[in-house]
Amino acid sequence: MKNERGQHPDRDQPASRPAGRASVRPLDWAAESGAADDVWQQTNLKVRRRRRQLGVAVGSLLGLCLMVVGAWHWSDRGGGPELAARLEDPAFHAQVLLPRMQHLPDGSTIEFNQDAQAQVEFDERRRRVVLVQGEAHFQVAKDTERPFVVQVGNVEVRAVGTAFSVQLARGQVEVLVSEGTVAVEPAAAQVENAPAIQAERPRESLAIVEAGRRLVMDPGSISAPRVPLEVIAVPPLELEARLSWRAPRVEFSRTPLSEALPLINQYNRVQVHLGDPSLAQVRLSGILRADNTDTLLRLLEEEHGLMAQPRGVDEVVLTKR
Amino acid sequence: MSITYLCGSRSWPVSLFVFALTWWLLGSTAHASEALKRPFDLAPGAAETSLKQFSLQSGLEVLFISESVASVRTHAVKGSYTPREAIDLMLANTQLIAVQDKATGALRVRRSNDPNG
Repeated sequence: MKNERGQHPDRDQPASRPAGRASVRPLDWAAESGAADDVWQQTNLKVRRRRRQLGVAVGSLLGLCLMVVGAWHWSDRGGGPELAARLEDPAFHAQVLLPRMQHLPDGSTIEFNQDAQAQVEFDERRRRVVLVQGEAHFQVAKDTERPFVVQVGNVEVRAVGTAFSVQLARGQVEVLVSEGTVAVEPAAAQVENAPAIQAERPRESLAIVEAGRRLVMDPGSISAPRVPLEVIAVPPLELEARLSWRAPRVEFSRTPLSEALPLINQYNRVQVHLGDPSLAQVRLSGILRADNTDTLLRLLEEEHGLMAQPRGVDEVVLTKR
Repeated sequence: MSITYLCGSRSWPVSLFVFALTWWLLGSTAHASEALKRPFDLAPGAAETSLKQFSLQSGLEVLFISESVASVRTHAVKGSYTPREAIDLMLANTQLIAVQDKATGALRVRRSNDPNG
């Protein structure tokens, strides 16, 4: 998904997108972010032969068109008239949570979680981002001439070509590396009498954090000299869970199944339908990855006594037990 | 961790014990991941809202039937905890428990059947 994101410019989201919480615009979302990977894969199969003969730009355009058509097709299957009704209903209590994405001039991207804020300061010598608050994930384009530096509090996280997230929240800094290696160093302002020219040279590292590892520190502790910083291995499942905010999630607030299912169905190949109209008013709350029908079905089966019966390969029907 | 949450159905105590033991023996990586603490700052309040705040602060998915948490208030949690510790503190002495899906890592919250749970 990461690679695909880089290859398909049609998946870009505008940087000006409002922070964190998108109102429910599922069709726009599928076309803009392209995170409807299933739709992409299916449509991609159909057009693969044609795409080979076309230029990259034409191919991307075609992909965009097909994704839009695919999204329409799927949402029709998932909701039909109910979907149209839901979009007009002001009392609809569900929303899709997406990270806000910013594309930088060098090809790097930043994804912002919820209330994250950052300032981007690029010039010909350096690529610097100051993380003011919250959590952000950085996919860094390789440029050995200009290191990519994220300043957070009084430390800097320096990378060449890598992917990592940095969080400043509730008085704690966390650095989590998903690809490559980063060095954590005192921020330039912390190095006394450092001439400006030296500020961009590599300084003595406080810690080296490799892929699959994380560093947690109290920013206040950095001023104390030689405090050893603990770098901990993060198991792959935990890493995935920690970065799960990057995937589309759905927030339910007492959302009836009649509204929750069409929304979830837009993100999944397997479509969940009600086999009994009286179940429409069962209400869900919480925050769930949009592709996690497993947990949804298990909750309804084990906590609400429903039965989920497969019908064919891509449909599940819910009934009372 | 799993024993407490499996005790709801008491019909198969032996098999549950074996399962829990196996889980404990095989689940060393899962336990390692549980050991990662994060900062939490959760205000006390209605479970409907505070459980979603927990989801945003922990990064874990949380899902429940709305009516099952109606009128339940959760406790404040402030400090550095693993997600499991944090949600157990939130739900301590309420009628709610959180069950983690092994496959997806998501938490399902429900009313406890066991009066001691």
